[in-house]
Amino acid sequence: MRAHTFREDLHERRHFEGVYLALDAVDRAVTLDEIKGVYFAHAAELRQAMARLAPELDADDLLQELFLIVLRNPGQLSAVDSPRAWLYGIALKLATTRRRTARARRFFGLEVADATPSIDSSSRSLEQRDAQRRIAKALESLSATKRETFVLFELQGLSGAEVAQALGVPEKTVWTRLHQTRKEVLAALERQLLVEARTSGLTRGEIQP
Amino acid sequence: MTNFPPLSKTAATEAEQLVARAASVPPRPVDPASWDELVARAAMRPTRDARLIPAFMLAVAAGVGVVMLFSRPAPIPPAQPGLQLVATAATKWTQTSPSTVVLSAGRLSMVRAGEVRIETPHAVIEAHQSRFLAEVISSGTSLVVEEGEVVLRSGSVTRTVRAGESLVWPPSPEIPARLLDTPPVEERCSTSPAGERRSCLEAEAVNGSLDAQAALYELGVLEAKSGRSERAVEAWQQSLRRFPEGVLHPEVRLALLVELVRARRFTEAENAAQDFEKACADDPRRAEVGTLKALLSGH
Repeated sequence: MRAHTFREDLHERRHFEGVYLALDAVDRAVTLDEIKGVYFAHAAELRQAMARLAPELDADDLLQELFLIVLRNPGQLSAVDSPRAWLYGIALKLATTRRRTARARRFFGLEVADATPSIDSSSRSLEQRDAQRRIAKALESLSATKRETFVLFELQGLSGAEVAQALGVPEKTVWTRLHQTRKEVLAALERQLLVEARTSGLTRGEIQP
Repeated sequence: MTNFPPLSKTAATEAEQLVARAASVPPRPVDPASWDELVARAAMRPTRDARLIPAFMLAVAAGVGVVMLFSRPAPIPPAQPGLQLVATAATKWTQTSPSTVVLSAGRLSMVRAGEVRIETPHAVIEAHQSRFLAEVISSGTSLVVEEGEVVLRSGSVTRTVRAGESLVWPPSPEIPARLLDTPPVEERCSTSPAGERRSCLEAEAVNGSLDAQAALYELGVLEAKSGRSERAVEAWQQSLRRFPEGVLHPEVRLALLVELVRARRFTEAENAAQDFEKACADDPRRAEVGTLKALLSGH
């Protein structure tokens, strides 16, 4: 039985009557089920990545926006070598754009800043939660490109080639950035531990949870 | 820079262990119902926050206002009554009436204006709706017309100068043709390269011989032909100081006279003519020199 194309799939679903989709971009048969498969394969890690990149924003909203983009550009999904890296590339742009928009909205008084930035709440232990908090603080001082490189490679576990594809830079650039960023992050973490030890009167070994 | 493993695989220090611990946090699984929500959301036309529109328009209006404020052209000053002119430094001029200027020295640039009259020691310049330059030097008034038409009057003489034309008043007196005949003199330093002939002549002019007289005369001719009038005059004046009765002194005196006339140094030329008449009473060109002197005395 011939697989339904994405276009045919849409016509068959009442949900998509009058849907606002860029159907002209479909140049290969892509079924909605394929996109669903991609969604369940990568949605969790993408949401976690966006929570790390834009902790002040709602990660669930960002995830929905990301896959709305995918649904509106189904042709591109079939054209890329690594869907995972492509999705991460969209996630990075989305997080950057939404952070900028949120700043503008706060400037015009249309939105109140979240006083307690949310980190993806999937931590399983106190130690992991503490590590998440410290890393988030260390990442605040980094530039956007360094933060993105570090999060994708060190925390999300992407390979160097995938990070390069997601960022749209040569792989060599990724390694150079990582080398510098590692130093900065580790130095920031060391400072945090030292400051905490001084203010609490404990040794650095004692303040570990 | 080579690739390296992530910190989570090689964590040694406390800080590196923190990174490894954060990387080990598994992502929270997505709710299966979220896919249906996503599909339902895709079915709706995307909307924008309408509250942003007035904020955006306000920002655009403010930006346009700022740009207009800084790019507003300066108000055009009202037209000044009277003349509009530009005088160069050291120009001596006075305005005697709303449309009359007396220019005794220097240069005036007249902007296109109504009726204007400029009085100089040599002539009267009249113009209407014209743009021109008028310059007064000791030997005359020069006029360069850029737009329109300018009339120059001097005694009973009237000259009309149009756009693109220029005029110097009074004109140089006509030099009698006989005075322009350069005597045949043996060319000196003719074998020297073009750029070194002057230094060769200067070297020859140092001693007191006949060669020095000829060298000084030729040096003046060379400078005059090269357009260096001042240096030509200097060479011949030096020759007359050193050899006032030399074999070439009549030729030197005539050459000096002609060059001074060409340079519009009329007073000095008149003196040079007078000297020639005294020093060369028997010269056959004395009559022509007398004629030229008479013309010069009229200036």
